Amino acid sequence: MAKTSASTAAPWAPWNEAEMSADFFQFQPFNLPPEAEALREEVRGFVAKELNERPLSELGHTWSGSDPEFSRKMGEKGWIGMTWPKKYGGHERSFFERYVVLEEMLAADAPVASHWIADRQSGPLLLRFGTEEQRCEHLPAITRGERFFCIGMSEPNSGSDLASVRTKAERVEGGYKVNGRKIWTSGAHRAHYMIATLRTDSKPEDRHGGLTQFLVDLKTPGIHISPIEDLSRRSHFNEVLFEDVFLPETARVGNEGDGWMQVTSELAFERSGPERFLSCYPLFKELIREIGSDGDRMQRVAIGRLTARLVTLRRMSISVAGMLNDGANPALEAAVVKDQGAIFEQNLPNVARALVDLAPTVEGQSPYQEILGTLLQAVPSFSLRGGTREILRGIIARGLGLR
Amino acid sequence: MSELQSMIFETADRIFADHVTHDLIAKGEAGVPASNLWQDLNFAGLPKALCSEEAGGIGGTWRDVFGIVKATGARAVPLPLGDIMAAHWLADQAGMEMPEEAIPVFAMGKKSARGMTIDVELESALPTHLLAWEGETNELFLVALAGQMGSRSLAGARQLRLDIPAEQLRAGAKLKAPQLTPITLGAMLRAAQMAGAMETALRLSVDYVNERVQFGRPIGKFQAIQQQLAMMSGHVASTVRAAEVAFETIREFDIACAKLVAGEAAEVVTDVAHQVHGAIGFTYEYQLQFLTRRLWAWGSEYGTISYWAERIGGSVLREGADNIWPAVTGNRLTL
Repeated sequence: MAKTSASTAAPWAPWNEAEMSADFFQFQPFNLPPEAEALREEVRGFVAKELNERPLSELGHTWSGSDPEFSRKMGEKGWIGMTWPKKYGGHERSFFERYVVLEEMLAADAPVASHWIADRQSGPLLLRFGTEEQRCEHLPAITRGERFFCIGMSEPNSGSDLASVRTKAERVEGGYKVNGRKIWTSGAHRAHYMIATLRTDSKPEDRHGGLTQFLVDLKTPGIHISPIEDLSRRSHFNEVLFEDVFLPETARVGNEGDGWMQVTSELAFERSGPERFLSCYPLFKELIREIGSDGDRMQRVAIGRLTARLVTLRRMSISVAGMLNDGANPALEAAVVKDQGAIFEQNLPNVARALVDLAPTVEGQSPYQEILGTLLQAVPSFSLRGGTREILRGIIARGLGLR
Repeated sequence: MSELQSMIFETADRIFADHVTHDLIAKGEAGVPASNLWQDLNFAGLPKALCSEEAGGIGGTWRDVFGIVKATGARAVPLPLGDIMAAHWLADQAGMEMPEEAIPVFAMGKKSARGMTIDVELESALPTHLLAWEGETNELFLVALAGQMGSRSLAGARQLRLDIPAEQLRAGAKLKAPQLTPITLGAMLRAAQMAGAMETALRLSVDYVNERVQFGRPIGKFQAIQQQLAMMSGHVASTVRAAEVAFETIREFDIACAKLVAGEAAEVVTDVAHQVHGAIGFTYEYQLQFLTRRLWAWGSEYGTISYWAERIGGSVLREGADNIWPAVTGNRLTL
């Protein structure tokens, strides 16, 4: 066998070193505290009351399904902006309490899309980098479930390579003039505002430093929003065209040039939640119903494997919530949960099809078949949205010390 | 980690680091007992870490020794410390006297028409006795080892199946309402050992791809390698978290999940670790094989993936579609 560099590099070295620790990640052992559990029954009672007798076509969309009225009712319950300061309409509750509300909504297949992005990332972004005026203007309306946000990141030529965005915000008298195009903007057609990441400095050598974030009122003249049908002919995402759009100075979030730092911190929020492994939960539930209380050996084995993964992902996700609660930055752990979660979710419809001999439908009669139809057509997006599998694994690889 | 946890972990890991070498593991697999290692561990009181202080122990909980059991996997320690701690723990729980010089390992017993069948995977020639736990009656039996050979596992352990005639059987004590069963106790130990072995396999892989140069740069700079290791690391993290939960709650359901997740992860981890190492990782000289062979062996001990999956799945289906979520969140799923 050929000599390799490893055999000359003392391959035994780590064996005898005390510092052999492989602690690349810190999934600290958090459990949900009693006050978070106390909230659970209330949330269950609420969704049971609000979500009975829904048409089959509304099932299986989890956090992609929207209903502004439902969002307003959640706002009334105090379940939006739960961890934010009271002076901005928040409720100063823990990340664990928020976690319980999120996972109960997902498990119940609740239509939470209207407020989801504002609650998850736009609000926290404004809280961290926004001006006092911006916070007072927007956060209370978000917590009431009355103001919805979308995320202006991707562009036709900037997907995974986010730092290459070209939509330009040029300085003009009293503010900025914006020209360009955002794409794949989920919920833009239903949102009131966008947090847009734009280029304020076009020197090509400063890709990261030339970015700035803005709070964009989508009613501003010159903004044209065109829904894009996805493969199932649903319109979740959009193209958003900016033609000489004027943004006042007060629309800027943070300093000019800080956009990259801000957008990456926003992405950590985007990737950290239980929606990264519970999007397929409604299918898991209906699959169990179809199999019945015994099942054959193949069905029991497959359901057992899915359950163990689900339970483990949930434990890891609660760890992430705990670290957020402690003010830590679990961006790496969040990437791990999202990557493992996508493997689980994308596998689930295929496992279901191997276990139960029923075809997916789009205008069908049974909840199982309808949810299977919806999810089969949705799961390709699960390893694209919020950062592709390849980008996430690149982040994890950096955490491992490979980049 | 609590103070007790870090103290006993650091003590154990220091002793492992001082003793456990490629040579010692190779000898252990060939049947040479690691006596010096044992002396140090014994002197530090670690075999009885889980026993009450009245019984000469440290009074630790399973959560306290998780790091130690994981470390026996991480360093491929050629001595079944986890199985020995479990035997002392069982004896202490049942108020059973252990002979002063005995080195007992935990084993599964099953009453048969003629007496009892005991199954054990003996990772070292050091232990003197088996402490067999009969799962139906919860009786404990201390059985002296007499050089039985059995077949060998991929980890070099002697796989013994002993048939003890009824007239030679005398129960030493009886466990009162144990929280676990024999197979779940074994599965819990192996899940933690597997978590440790996977962590080292990951560490070795990362270090290797950062060193190994091809096409003018470390192969770790290639995205093809990075993507595989990133995916592998997620499986390692899942296994560690699941095993840690099992040691926290000592619930059968959590243990079953931990062993199952470990078994699934081991397939990915052994695959990727060997792939990124290339030919050197396939040699006996390099240490990766100590870990991957153990992962293959431990994955089959105390319940394979399909054994645990069927038990978990059966329980979930009995629970029914509408009760699953409340049972998951209430940690009420059972086997």
